[in-house]
Amino acid sequence: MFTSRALALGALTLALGLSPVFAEQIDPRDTAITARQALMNLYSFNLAPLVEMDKGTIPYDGVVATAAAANIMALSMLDQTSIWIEGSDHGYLESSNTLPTIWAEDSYLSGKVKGMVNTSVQLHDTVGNGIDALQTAVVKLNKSCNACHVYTIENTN
Amino acid sequence: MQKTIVSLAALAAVGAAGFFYLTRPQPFDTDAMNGLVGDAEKGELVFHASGCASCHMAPGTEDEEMAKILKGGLKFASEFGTFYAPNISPDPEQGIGSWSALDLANAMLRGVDTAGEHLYPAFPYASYRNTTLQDVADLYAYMMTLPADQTPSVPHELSFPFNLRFTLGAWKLMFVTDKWVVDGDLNESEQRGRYLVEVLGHCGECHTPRNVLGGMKRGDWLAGGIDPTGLVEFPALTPDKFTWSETDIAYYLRSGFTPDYDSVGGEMVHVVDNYSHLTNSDREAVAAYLMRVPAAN
Ligand code: HEC
Ligand code: HEC
Repeated sequence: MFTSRALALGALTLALGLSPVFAEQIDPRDTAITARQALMNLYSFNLAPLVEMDKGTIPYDGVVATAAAANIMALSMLDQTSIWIEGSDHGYLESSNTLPTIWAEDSYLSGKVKGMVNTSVQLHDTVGNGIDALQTAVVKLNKSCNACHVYTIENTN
Repeated sequence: MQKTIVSLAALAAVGAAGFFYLTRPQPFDTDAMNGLVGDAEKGELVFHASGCASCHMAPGTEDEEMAKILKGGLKFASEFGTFYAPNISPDPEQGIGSWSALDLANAMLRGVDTAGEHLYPAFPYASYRNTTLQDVADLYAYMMTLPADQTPSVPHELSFPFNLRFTLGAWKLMFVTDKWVVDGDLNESEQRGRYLVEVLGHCGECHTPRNVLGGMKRGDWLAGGIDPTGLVEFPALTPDKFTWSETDIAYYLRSGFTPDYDSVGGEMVHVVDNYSHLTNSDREAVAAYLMRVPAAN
C-alpha cells in the first residue's frame, strides 16, 4: 500500500515538475494540462468511497474513509506552482476544461490552492468520527473544489 | 382615393394604438397582495431556490456572508449588449429599500419596475412568472433583513433598438406565458419539483436552447443550451441524453459531486450552493420532476 502510493506520488511529481525540463520541444502548457488532469483523476479516484458512503450506497467505514482522505490530503499538498501556467486553458487546448478567467486578478488562484489544503486536512481529521462528520466534511471539501471549478466548463471533447 | 388613405392612416393609428395597448407594462392590481403576511424564515428558502444572489451579489464574491450583500455589478453579455445586475439591497436610495412587496412582485413576475417601465428578460421574470404571491411576500420579508449597500447600479450597455424599454412588451407577448411546460398527471412531489425547476430555479434559462430573439424554445425544454459567448455549453437534462438516477441528481444538488466523482463546475456551482440550503424533500422533488421531462425532439 505504502510503496504503491509512494510510487504514484513519485510519478506524479515527475509529471508535475520535471517533464518540461527534459522534453523541451513540448509546450509546457501541454504537460501542465496533462498533469492537472492526472491530479484531478487521482482526487476523483480517492473521493469515490467517501461519496458513496455519503450517498448511502455503501456502509460507512471509518478506516477506509480515513485512508482515502489521507490520499486526498497528500494530493492537495503537492507543489502546484508549475501546473497552473497562465494560458494553459480551453482556448489553447480544447481538451482542457479550464477557463482563462481562473488567472484573473480577482480569482486569487494561490489562495484557492491553500483553501483546498485546509479542507483536505479537516477531511482527514474528521471522516473517522462517523457518518455525520463525513457528510459535513465532504460537502466542505466540495466548496474548495468549486472555488476553482467556477472557472471550468463541462467539456465533451 | 383620398378616403382610402385616410382610412388606412386611421387603421395604422388604431394598429399602433393596439400595439401599444397590447404591449404595455402590466403590473398587478394594487390590492393583489392585500392580507399576505411575509415570513422571513420561509423567504430565505425562496431566496435560495430562486437564486437571486447568483446574479445580484458583487463580482468576486467568495463566501456566503458576502453573497448576502446584493449590491449588483455582475456582467451579463448577450447578443443585444451587456447587462449589469443592479443593486437590490435594502438601501432606500441605491437599492430597493423603498419598494413594497407588491413592487417586488411586479418586477419579478411581470417584469415591470417602479417607474412602470418594462424590465429586460436578462432578469428571468419569464421563468418567475408563476411564483406564488405568498412566496414573494416571504422573499420580500427576508430580503429586507439583508445588509443595505450604497453602491450605485451600473447602467447597461445596449445598442439601438434594444436600449428602448417599450419594445420589450412585444417580446413578452411572444415569450412569456402562464402555462406549465410539463403538464398532465403529476404527483405532489413532481408538482413541487415542477415549481422549483420551471419557476423558482429558472433552470430552463440555461438548460433550454433559445431562439434568435432570446426566447426559450419551450418545445425543446431542457434540451441543452449554449451561453451567448458561445463558450459555455449547458448540458441537456432530457432522458435521451441525461441518464442519472434520482438519487444521483438529489445528491449532486446537496453535495456538488457527480456520479463519476467530478465536482460541479461553471455557473452550476452557484445553483448547487443555493440548492444545498433546501430540504432533502425539495431536492428529491427536483429529481422526480426531471424524470418526467420528455426526450428532446
Ligand atoms: C446559470 C446557468 C444555470 C442554471 C440557472 C442552472 N444550471 Fe444546471 N448546469 C449549468 C452548467 C454550466 C452545467 C455544467 C456543470 C459543469 O460544468 O460541471 C450544469 C449542469 C447541471 C447538471 C449536471 C448535468 C450533467 O450532465 O453533468 C444538472 C443535473 C443540472 N445542471 C440541473 C440543474 C437544475 C435542476 C437547475 C435549476 C434548479 C439548473 N441546473 C439551473 C448551468 C445552469
Ligand atoms: C440571471 C440573473 C438574474 C437573476 C437570477 C435574478 N436577477 Fe434580478 N435582475 C437581473 C438583471 C440583469 C436586472 C436588470 C433588468 C433591467 O434593467 O431591466 C435585474 C433587475 C432586478 C430588479 C429591478 C431593480 C430595479 O432597480 O429596477 C429587481 C427588484 C430584481 N432584479 C430582483 C431579483 C430577485 C428578487 C431575484 C430572485 C428571485 C432576482 N432578481 C434574480 C438579473 C437577475
